Amino acid sequence: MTEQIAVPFEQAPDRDTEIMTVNVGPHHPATHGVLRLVVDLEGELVREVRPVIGYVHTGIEKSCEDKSYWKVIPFVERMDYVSYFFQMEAFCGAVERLIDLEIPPRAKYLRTIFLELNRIHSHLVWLGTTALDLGAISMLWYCFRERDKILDLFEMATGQRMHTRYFQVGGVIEDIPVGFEAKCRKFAEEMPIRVGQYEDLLDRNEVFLQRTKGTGVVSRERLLELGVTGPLLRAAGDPWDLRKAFDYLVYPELDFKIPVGTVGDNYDRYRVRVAEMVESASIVRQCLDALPEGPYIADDRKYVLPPRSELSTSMESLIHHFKLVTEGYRVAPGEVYYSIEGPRGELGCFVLADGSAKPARVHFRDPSFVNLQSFRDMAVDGYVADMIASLGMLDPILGGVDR
Amino acid sequence: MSPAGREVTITIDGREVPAVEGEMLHDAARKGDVEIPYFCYEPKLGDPVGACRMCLVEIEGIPKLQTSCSTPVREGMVVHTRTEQVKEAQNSVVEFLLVNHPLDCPVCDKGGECPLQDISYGWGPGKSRVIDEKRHFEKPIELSPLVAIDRERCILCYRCVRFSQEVSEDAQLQLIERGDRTYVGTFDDRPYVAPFQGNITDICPVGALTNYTYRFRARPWDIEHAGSVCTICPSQCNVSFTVRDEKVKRVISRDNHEVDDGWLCDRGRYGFEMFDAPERVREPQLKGGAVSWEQALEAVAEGLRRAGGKVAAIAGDASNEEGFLLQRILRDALGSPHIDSRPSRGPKADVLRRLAEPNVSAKVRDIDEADAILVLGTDPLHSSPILDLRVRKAIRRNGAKLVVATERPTALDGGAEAIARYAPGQAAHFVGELASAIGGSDNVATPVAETLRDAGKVVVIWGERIAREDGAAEALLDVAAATNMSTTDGAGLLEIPDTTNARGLREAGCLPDAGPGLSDTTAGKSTEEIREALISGELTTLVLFGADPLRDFPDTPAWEEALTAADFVLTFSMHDNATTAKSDVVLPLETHAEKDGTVTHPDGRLQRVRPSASRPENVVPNILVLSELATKLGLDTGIDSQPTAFQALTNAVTLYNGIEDEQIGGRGLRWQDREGATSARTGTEQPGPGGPPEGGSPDTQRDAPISMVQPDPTPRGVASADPPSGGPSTAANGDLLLGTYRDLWAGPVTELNPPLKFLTPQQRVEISRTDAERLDLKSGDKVRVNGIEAEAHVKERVPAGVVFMAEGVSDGNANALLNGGPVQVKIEKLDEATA
Amino acid sequence: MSFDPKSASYLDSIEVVEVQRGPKPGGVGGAYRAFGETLRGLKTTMARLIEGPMTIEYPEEKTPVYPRFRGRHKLHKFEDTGLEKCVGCSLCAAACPADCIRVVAAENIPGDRVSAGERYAAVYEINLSRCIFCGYCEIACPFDAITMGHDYEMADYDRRDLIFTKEMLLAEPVERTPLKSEGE
Repeated sequence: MTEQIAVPFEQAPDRDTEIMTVNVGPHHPATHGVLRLVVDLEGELVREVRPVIGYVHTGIEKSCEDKSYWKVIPFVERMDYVSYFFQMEAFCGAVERLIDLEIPPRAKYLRTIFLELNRIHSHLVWLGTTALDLGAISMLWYCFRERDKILDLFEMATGQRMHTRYFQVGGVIEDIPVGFEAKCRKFAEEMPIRVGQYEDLLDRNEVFLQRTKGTGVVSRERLLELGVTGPLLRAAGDPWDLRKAFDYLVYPELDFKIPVGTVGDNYDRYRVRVAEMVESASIVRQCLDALPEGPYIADDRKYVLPPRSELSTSMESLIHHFKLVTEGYRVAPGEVYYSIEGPRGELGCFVLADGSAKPARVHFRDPSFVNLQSFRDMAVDGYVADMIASLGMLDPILGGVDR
Repeated sequence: MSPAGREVTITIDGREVPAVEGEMLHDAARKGDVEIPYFCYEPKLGDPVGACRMCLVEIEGIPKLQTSCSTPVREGMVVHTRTEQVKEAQNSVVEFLLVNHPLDCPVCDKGGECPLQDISYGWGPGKSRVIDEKRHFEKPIELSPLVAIDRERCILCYRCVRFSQEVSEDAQLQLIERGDRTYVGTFDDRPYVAPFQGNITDICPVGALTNYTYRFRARPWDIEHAGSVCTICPSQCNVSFTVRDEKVKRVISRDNHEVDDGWLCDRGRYGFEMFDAPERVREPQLKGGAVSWEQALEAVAEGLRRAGGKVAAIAGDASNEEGFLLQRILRDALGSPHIDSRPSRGPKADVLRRLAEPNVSAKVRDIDEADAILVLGTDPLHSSPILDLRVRKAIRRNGAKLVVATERPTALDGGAEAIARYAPGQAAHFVGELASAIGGSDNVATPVAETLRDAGKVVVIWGERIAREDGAAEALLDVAAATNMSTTDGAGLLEIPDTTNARGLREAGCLPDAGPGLSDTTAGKSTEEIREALISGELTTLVLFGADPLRDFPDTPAWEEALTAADFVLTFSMHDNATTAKSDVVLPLETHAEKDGTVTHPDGRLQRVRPSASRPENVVPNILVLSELATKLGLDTGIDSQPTAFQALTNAVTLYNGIEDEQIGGRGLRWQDREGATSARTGTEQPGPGGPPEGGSPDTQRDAPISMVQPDPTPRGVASADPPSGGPSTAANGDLLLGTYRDLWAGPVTELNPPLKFLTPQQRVEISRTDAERLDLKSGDKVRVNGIEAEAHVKERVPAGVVFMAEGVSDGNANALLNGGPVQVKIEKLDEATA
Repeated sequence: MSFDPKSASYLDSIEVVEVQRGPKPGGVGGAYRAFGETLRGLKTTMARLIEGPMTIEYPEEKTPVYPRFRGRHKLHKFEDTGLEKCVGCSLCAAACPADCIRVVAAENIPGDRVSAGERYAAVYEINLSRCIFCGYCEIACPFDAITMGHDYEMADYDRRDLIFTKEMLLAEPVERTPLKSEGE
């Protein structure tokens, strides 16, 4: 890896420089949230970095233990606030596996569409803010323009731009509205063109190249040791993607590629994510083409709310509605771990059921948290400016890290 | 149905479950952790009826499904509760029940805590097939002023009807009509009025029977349940307060088989609204004006110090800790031995010690297993309502023989094998006769004694008021000896005291001649002596803790005089009343929903009253008030909380030594049941059977099985100058003997309580038919009885020569007529015009 | 269902594409790119001019919302009778994950009815500073009495003013939020 820019401690030009400890954050635009970095600097070289987390600890996992399964859904969305659909899928999927509930095909396709839109959305937020850190301000506007289109799609279908609680155990809460399909297809077709524009701006931009190439390199082996997953691992050349590895939703039926990097530096990370956006747009198109007709949520009255039209006519439906809304369904004792490929890597949800209507434990394996561990390897012995680039390319969402 | 079946093993859903032969399959399944849905089954209500068909199970060898609630267990039974056949049956039953069930869940008070909802959700089909019109009834309508009935919601499980028929035995509720038009109702749609009607709202598995007091007040997710103890009467039923926004919204039973058997009387259930009555004392008052706590306590300390030992205290509605603190203040800070907790006279300490002996005390559950029950000098329905249900249950389910010996006809007379009536003031004499009759003598009490003699386990439920007569308590001990109580397990005496925590207060030391744990102490004055001493000026200062002498104590005029004569009266009271009006300082008392402390059940069970609702802003925990007061008077009690007070109490009271709060828990702990419980008495000697008393009066048994015991010509120790004698019933001059009783509904619980106000009793004179004819009275006539106006009420079962009037009513309180001895009353009929 | 990532079967089943590495930074190429690539980027930027503005002049102009948008709650009355649809059943309070709804029910007095059923909501409060706009209340309501409206301008100076009472929720919003049509 000749391109690697790192100065080992013993080769430092002036060894008599004092080590200075600098505090970065917790309120710092470049930390993408409230992350505090205690950095030992020797001149401009980072000798040690200690991320300090917990500033946005919300206790969501604990709160979930006090809520019925139904009410947990809007909670878990709010952990990693950029990939809300993924967390809903992780939780709902976990519960569906606990109660052995099969979701209808249309729901699977709809979920896939929204997950991939969310992936694009998450990568857009990453690209916009990271490019901003690296000095490319206009990227933010371009990325947020497309992000807004995705949010419009979310609003149109779910009623909310973020934290949509659209996924429910058994499927999705309501069908997509008229016109959504066309609008979504238009976006999915336009998105690769937009990605091309981003690439035009960044791919060969000298400043960007200087800042990213060879910085923050961590080997695939080291990343695997640290448990890092997602684009970071793929950028290091490991084609590990749960969408391919595990069989969930409709991914096995879709045709998409896994972009991988070769070096594992920040430039590869950028390239992998940008390429993933194109793949995701393709997945959305494929899903829209194959979207089957039929129910959007399972027809199991013990877990799924009855249709509203029956509330005024059917006693059974009214009682089931009442019980599901107030007390919620009970889940037989058991535990499950269900993981999916989030925009940042393996997003897993562990649910422990004790037979009551509330989960005994909900735990999320948040990729941001695990990935953040590799930050030291990226930053140490590099320049402090590269540390910022690496942190941006690491793409941690502190809401997910702290939970 | 015999509980003494042999152990068998049955198989439920492939699991081996131990069971007792003869018990119902449903119970065995429940013990084996197999859930079978049901609506109608409720062991508290007696034999199963299999009305709802929800508990159908498949039993191998029986082709059709069986109701598990009414199928007795047999060795080797193989049961399946989850097969397709069972599932289909359950689905069908629920679907059938829901066919006519209205879509009321959003407006129904039961919503969220409704067994029908739970079972429909758990075992029913998710979808409806029925599209037809549902059955309609007028709704909601008043079943009584306290209970609303919505007949559309009823699933005809029979529970309420069974309660009315088999538990409270008022037989008012019936199923009327047939088929889908069947409904629960009363004869001629009359209101269902009974003292236990609230229980039907607890047992109703749907929202058909709901409380008006809880109507739309809260939802299950709005509320918290706070387990505590009701201290409105000596039954001390375990209750659970439904609390919303820190206010009590409902009281429901907290099933404790040892105390209340899962039932609750309406006084305890609906009495909570008096907590927020406008008459509630919400802040300290000095001479009628509100003052700060500092000022009030300063005034109290000043007033008590000025008394210089000439101070007395009477505890009424108080917890053990409060009673203990109060007697410490009196004895240790003020140096006065004059403290009592009884409304009138009572036995001496040595007799109390003998009565407290564990081997002669019965516990509540002993009633269930008793062979014979004697109800002596009390009507449980009025004085401890829940025991009325308990006695009925013993007769109905266990075939116990009941004997009633009282002045006034009781609600239990109907089920009694033998009844004796003695004249007011003759209790001591009667009990003495009874003891000798059990021993073999032939006297007035023989018909009663015959049932008790050699009966096996005899439980005597006796009213504290008989012990106001000298010698009655001793005679009672003779009865105990004559029936071999001390050597028979499950036999014993069970007192129904006049006040809620009478036993706890006595054991905490609120007695003139006994300190904490009934220990020996300097003798002081008892309640009546305190009254006389206040009038004579021997005592100048009085502390009343939760006692209302002007309503509850005999001889109201004397008490008025005493309170007026006193220099300084400090009253702790929950509500403003006549007594507080005559007090110098009034301090607010906590309600039992606010209090933190322990009380002692008449059978010796320590129970914990837990704070459940918020106090009004200026009401301070009474323990703290008392300990602050003690400090001001120079006594450092070291008590600053309930735990420290409880610690001090258990240290000082030998009977309670070493009892920990955790041992009391939610179910209470009988101190007698503890390992190594010591008796209060030192130098125990078994009381010998009383010899036949002298001068037994001739038996004038009127009508079997009622034995009418005539007043003894030479009553023992009763200060009556003019004992009624002569004719079979009436005194020569036409005067009648007055008997009094405390009405269940008399008191603030009805007067200050909007939902129960309609039950507020008016004074009425219960008079026998003979006397009524002689005086030309019929029911409803207005009469004047020694100055008190009342309504005549001719009652068949009232013995001739006696009239009965209620104590504690607001107008014409019979306590005003009492003067410590037998009272003759003259009855004047009032014209309509003068009335 | 899952298999070893290193296994041949996993690698066979996926289509891996290696991303391009781009030019090596610095050197002569770097000097060229500092100008050339920047100009090419500017071309991309300039080309966007024809796309017109993406922004609007808020607050003069309000962002229109979709019909499904979940904004401030509204309580509804029956149009014909004027009675409140809400019967105070508290299902919304039970469903609320944020516990921001408080309902105290009371009984309708014949002759002075507030709602159509036996009971009505004497107190109905939503603490909008706690609300997470999940819309579960709307889903829970069996009578369509509460719906999520389209108002999104709810900022205030005092948290106490964010506790909306029944009267506030029943009142029509002064300014209607513009609505996007389906498919717009």
